[in-house]
Amino acid sequence: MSVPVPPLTAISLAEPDAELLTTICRVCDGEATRADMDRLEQLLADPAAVTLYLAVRELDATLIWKTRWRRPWQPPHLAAAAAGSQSNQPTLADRLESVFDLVATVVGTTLLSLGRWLGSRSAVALLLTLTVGLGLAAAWQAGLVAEPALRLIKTVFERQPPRLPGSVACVTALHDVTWAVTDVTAQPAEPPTRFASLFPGQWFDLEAGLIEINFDGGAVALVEGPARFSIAGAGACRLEQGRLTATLDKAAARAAGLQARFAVETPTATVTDLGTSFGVAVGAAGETDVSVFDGLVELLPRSEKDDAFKPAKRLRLLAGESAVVATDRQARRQAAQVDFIRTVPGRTAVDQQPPLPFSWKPGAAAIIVAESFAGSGPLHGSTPASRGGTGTEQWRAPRDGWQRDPAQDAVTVTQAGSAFLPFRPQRGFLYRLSITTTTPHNPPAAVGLGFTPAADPNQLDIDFAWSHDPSTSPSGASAVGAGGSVTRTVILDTSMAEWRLFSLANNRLVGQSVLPRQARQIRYLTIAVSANSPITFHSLSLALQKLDRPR
Amino acid sequence: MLLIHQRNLHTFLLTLLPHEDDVDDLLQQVCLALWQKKDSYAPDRPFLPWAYAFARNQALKYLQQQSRDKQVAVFHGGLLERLAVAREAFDASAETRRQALATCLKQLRPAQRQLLEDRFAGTQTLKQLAAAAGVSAASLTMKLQRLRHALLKCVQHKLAQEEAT
Repeated sequence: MSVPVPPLTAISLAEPDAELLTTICRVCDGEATRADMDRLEQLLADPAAVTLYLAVRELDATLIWKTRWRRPWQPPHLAAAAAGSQSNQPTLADRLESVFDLVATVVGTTLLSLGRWLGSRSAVALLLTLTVGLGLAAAWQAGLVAEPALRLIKTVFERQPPRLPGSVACVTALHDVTWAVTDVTAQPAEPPTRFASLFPGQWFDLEAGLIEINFDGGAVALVEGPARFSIAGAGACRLEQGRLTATLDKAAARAAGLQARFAVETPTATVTDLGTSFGVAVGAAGETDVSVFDGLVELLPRSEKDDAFKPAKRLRLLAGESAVVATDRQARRQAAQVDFIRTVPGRTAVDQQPPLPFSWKPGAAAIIVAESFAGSGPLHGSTPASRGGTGTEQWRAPRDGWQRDPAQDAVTVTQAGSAFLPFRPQRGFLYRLSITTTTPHNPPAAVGLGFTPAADPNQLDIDFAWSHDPSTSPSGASAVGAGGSVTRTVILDTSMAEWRLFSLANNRLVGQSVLPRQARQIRYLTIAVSANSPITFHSLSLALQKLDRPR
Repeated sequence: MLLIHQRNLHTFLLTLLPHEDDVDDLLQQVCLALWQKKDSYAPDRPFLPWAYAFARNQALKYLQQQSRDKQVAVFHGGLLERLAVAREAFDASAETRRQALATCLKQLRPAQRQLLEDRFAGTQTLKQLAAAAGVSAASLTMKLQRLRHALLKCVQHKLAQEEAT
């Protein structure tokens, strides 16, 4: 039906302004007229012209994929799970877009890791193609890229996703955040991730950690957990309890056409920012402490009787001044009482990285295996998603009791045993193996995750790794899941003379060890289940990255 | 599987439909449809050819609809078929090219990278970009064309080097 097109190396690229390239570029840049389209169709009769066209479009596609904060499409059940978190009524496309940040955590990888779409064919190919696709970032990680390129990468990967219509603020940093489990219904269905859009009326219950929020009115607020707060508008938030600091550069905000106003409502008062930076602390009884670091702040107590403001009682506070509105609703000046945290520590370490001796940068990782456990039937003999279609490597697992569940893209294990997938680590890398497990029943099954030289589905000892649960001792093989959903991760560091292994549960480091030399014989990754109570696996991933540690 | 191969599908559709915005819409539609048809996919068969065949049909349908609805410049069906076949064959060596491209991108000057980023970020049209830079759209297109040419030359060179080794 068609003549095969020659490879890119076999065609002549001639001059940059040759007619063919001009026409292709006009079409690709959306500048083409009908006549241009017709001319291109004529030109494409030549197979070499087709090659050039394919190459240009591939180039464009790569750049689009790199440059835009691309939202991958998500299956409807995942999308629907998170769509409920939006309080207004965005379009379907908005919804799809909005949920991806949230869903990314469910999938167990990060949006930044475009690498997972590389669809690379094998681990070997991946080793060779560290710089493919995500390559710039990987190369950056490897220290191969010069400073200007680094800036570009940062812009590309740090780019904020589009804000959703109706939102008034956006999360710009998270530091060691834990969200409290509450019954607050206005809380989003999923905890906000970095760059998540926030809507008026949303409540948040922060158990610990710091969250930085950029309000459309121009203010930047840093909330310190434990705190209960809500977004009231583009220039306002309500702090029920806890501490926050806010900074508003009024001149800059005005210049940017923003509202340049910020108010914090508390149960006893309203604190209005008149161009400054200040801290507000709300105690258990609603008492409000205000400290001004810079500029001017207005403190307006509410009446206890009708909750109305009492303008006569207002206080204006200057830099260095502090005041309190106690439960009697009286505003009194006082010496500063509260120590506020005013900056996010180590601004780059916002993605809840575990305290590891190296930093795992999701944006710089290349995915080796991304297994969604889609399909039905036994896990044994199935091919992982990322190697599907081209790979021949299959899961080895017990023939009974390890079944894929098409309804939830997961494997349900009802019988003790182990599953294996061929994997051979190379020197000089970090390998990160991660899986999310759910144990619906008590007592929960014991689960291990790691690497091993031999594959025996009935063997439960994993030679070189256990993923431990934080609730148990980090030593020994007592890696008993505490029930619920746990993301287990092991990181194999082959960058040093002695290979090391780190175990994490829900991104917390729970164990580390130096591996014996036999670890060089690792040929499989493995998951082991040692009890018969049902356990479900979701979304396993194995990724590698080059380590920027000086040798 | 679908999540993993979305990038390939994106490139595939972009080859068939030159308009980037069309592709964004269609990629969503294709993914949703593939998801709904997932039961008809046999896991022991390669995923991409199956997905491509489907995407090609969707693209054809989309084109028919578009050419009816409004006067947009699109490829006719025969060419589209031919491009689909060619793209699928071209796919096999895509990784090596992307790898070479990544190296080549690093060699660009910051201003050139900025231009590419602005062009492909999708937030401004070419005309808006040109207006912002105070140049005509035609001269911007020409700049982009030269950049593409330089990048392809570089990729070609890298591939030839690799073949030689």
